[in-house]
Formats: sequence, structure tokens, C-alpha cells
Amino acid sequence: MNFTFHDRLNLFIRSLSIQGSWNFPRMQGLGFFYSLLPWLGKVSGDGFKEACHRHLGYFNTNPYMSPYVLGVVSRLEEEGKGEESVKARNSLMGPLGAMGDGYYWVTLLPVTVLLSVSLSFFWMAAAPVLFLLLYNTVHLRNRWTYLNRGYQNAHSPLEGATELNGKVLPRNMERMATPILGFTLGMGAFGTQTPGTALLIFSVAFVVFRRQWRTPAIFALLVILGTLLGFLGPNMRIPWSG
Amino acid sequence: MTGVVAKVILSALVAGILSIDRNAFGQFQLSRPIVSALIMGVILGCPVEGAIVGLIYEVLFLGSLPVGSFIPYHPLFPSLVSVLLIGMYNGPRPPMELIGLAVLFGAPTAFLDRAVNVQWRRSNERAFHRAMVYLRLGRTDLVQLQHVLSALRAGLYHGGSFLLTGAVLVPSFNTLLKSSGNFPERFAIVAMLPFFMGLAGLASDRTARKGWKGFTLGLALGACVGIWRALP
Repeated sequence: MNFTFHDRLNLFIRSLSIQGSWNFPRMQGLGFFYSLLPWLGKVSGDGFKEACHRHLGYFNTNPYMSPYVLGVVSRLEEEGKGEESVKARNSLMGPLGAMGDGYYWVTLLPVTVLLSVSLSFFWMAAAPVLFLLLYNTVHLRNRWTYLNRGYQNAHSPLEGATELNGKVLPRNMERMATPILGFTLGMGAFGTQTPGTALLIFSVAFVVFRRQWRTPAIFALLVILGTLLGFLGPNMRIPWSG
Repeated sequence: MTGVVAKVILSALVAGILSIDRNAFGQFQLSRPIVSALIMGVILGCPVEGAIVGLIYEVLFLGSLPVGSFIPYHPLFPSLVSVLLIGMYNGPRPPMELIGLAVLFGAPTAFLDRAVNVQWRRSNERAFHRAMVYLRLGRTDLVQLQHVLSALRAGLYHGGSFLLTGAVLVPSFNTLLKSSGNFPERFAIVAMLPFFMGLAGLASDRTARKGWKGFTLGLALGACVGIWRALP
């Protein structure tokens, strides 16, 4: 049986909603099942009911990485290796979750956002466009590739998963993050035309974050400090106000 | 009055739709404030202020990420609430200090947003159990329906609670503005406070092990470009 373009597209589109029914005990379990269901209907034949029971359970990984698991499971189910597909699914969740969180949430998102914020000082309207374009191009392209790679590497899924995001791009993006962060601060501080005040606020906040205050405490600080500065503080220009 | 109600309802609709992108379908990041606040600004007729609010919140919340099964504080509600409050201003163009005041009002709604998100996820537990029952009965069509309904419920939960938030905050904000007259221009600093706090949070995280050299270099370059741009 062929894993046709139509099958892949169906799995791909359904996998976009993998978090759609996220819940605490089974997390993405129902979403995973929903993505896989048409393929199970096609390949399972008489064993359809058992296949459904196998895959409606616990599942949790980074949503962007889930097509890889779907590709692996699709191939193994196609070959009638039901139990093996469950083992592969369970063994891939954790590593792919960690890999995806590190790549998408900790690296790609901050870098694309900071690049867009830096651009906003020169051309504000282009910032959201650049952000959406950069981020979505990368993750949509990757999701499609993961699905195909998963199907190809179904017999050694963990080995195939290690090189999914490459090494050069994540490392370089990680390196880019701090200079862009510094640049954004420099532009932001001097854009206010009161860089001394801006850098003072930054330094105080830096100390607070270094002490690892909890989020509610940071918000309380923001509101209290904001109210005080609003009535008593110096005047400050908003850099994008033209 | 009708205009105010229409704006609040429209905003709640936007909040509901964008929360589906964030939670249930795609994660295309349309719900990030850099995009969502601009969309809201365009709808309410204050695109520039919307974009500014988006940039400010984007940086503040950039360190709050859904790593593992942690449910982070998301800037969707704060950014939309702030733009909604700015959009209520009656005049040719809202003054910049209004952005600071709106940010001060909007920021704490991140807690509400998170609470609603947790409730939605809890409601999905029941959907999962129903799906299990339907599967035992051999009704895979109803299993799929549970998933689709859960995804749509994300929009309903967030849109509904945004409507209530707007119904409380908009009159309070308007009353404050009317009773206090014009707020001092100094309130513009409040808008920039979360921006620099967000940058500090990121810098504290990113430079913890390495990266000081790159950070300093970037800062110097940014300062030079900033000074050059400020020159007449």
C-alpha cells in the first residue's frame, strides 16, 4: 500500500490540531488519535478496532515534532506491527518533546521575535509580517519533513530523530540571540531619548530576575512601580511614537 | 454606548478565534501580541497604538514559554484588553500616555487568561472520557467530534471570559479617565516599563552561562544606531 500524497496531507493537516483536546491525564492523546484515524481506517482492515484502542491513550510531545511520531506509527501500523508502533510512540514522546521545546520555544521563537522587534524601530509595519513569515516558514516546512522522515525511519526511529533539526542552524540561532537582545536594548533605550532612565529600569529588573522572583511578584512589581513612575517619574518618549 | 458594546463583543470574538490558534489548531503564533494586538488595533481603528502595545507585551512575555507540560502566562488577554481600552478613546488619536495606563490595566489579566486556559483543559478531560465510551461503542465519528468540539470550546471559553473582562474593565477605565481628566504625560514611561523588564528577564536567562560578549557588542551597536538616528 502506498503512503500517498493525499494520505500525508491528511495526516499533516490533522496533526495541526494535535493539541485541540489537550487534557491533564492524557494530554494530546485524543489529538494523536484524531490525526491517525483515517490512516488506521485505510491500513488496519479487520484489526481496525484493536488499532483504535492501541492509539487512544496517553500522548504528549512538542506539537511541532508530533508529525515524526505519526510518520513512524503510520509505517508500523501499515506493516501490521501494532505492538511495536505503541512502543515506538512511547519511546519517542520524551526525547522529541525535549528536542522540540529547545528548538522551537527556547530558540526559534525568541530569535524571530527579537529580530522583528529590532526591525520595528526602523519599519514598524514590517515587524509582524517578518515574524509570521520566519516562524511559520520554518515550522510548517519542518512538520512536513518530520512526517516523511518518520515514515522512512520507522524501523530505527530514535536514531533518525537525533538529526531532525540539524546542528548548525539551532547552534547559530542560539548564538544570535544575545547580540540581537543587546541591540534591541540599545535601540530601545536610546529611542526613549532618556537612555539613563531606561538602562536603570533594565538594571533593576535584571537584579529582580536574577533573584528568580515568581511571576505574580514580578507582576505586582510592574503595577506598583508603574503607578509610582506614572505619577512621579520622569517623562519618557515611546520609541515607536514617531 | 452601542459602539462601546459592539467593540467589546467584536474584541471577544477576536480573542476567541485567536485562542484557537494558540491552543487548539496550528500554533501559527497569530495569538502572539506582536500580531494579535495589531489585528485588534486595526479593527478598533488604532493600528499604531495596537502595534506598540503588541511589541511591549511581546518582549515582556517572551520568557514565559510552554516548555514540558507547564502552562505559561500568555499575553493574549493583556494585549487585547490594552488595545480595547485604547480603542475606547474618543478623539482623533489617543495620546501616548494612554498606552501606559492601558498596559497597567491590561497586564494583570494574564492571570485570568491562564485560569481560563486551565479550565478549558479540565473540561477536555470529560471529552476524553466520552471519546473512550464512543470508541467502545464503535462510533469513531463521535470520537472525532469530541476532539473538534474541544478545539472549538477553546474559543468559546476564552471569548466568553474576555467578554466578561471587557464588560468590567471598559466602564472602570472610562470612569477613571473621566474623573481624573487628563493623565500626566509621564505615564508614557509606564508603557516602556514592561518592555525593559522583559528584556531584563531575557538577558538574565540568556547570559546566565555565556553570551555576555555578544550581548555587550549588540548593546553597543544598538546604542550607536540609536544615537545616529536621534541626531537631527
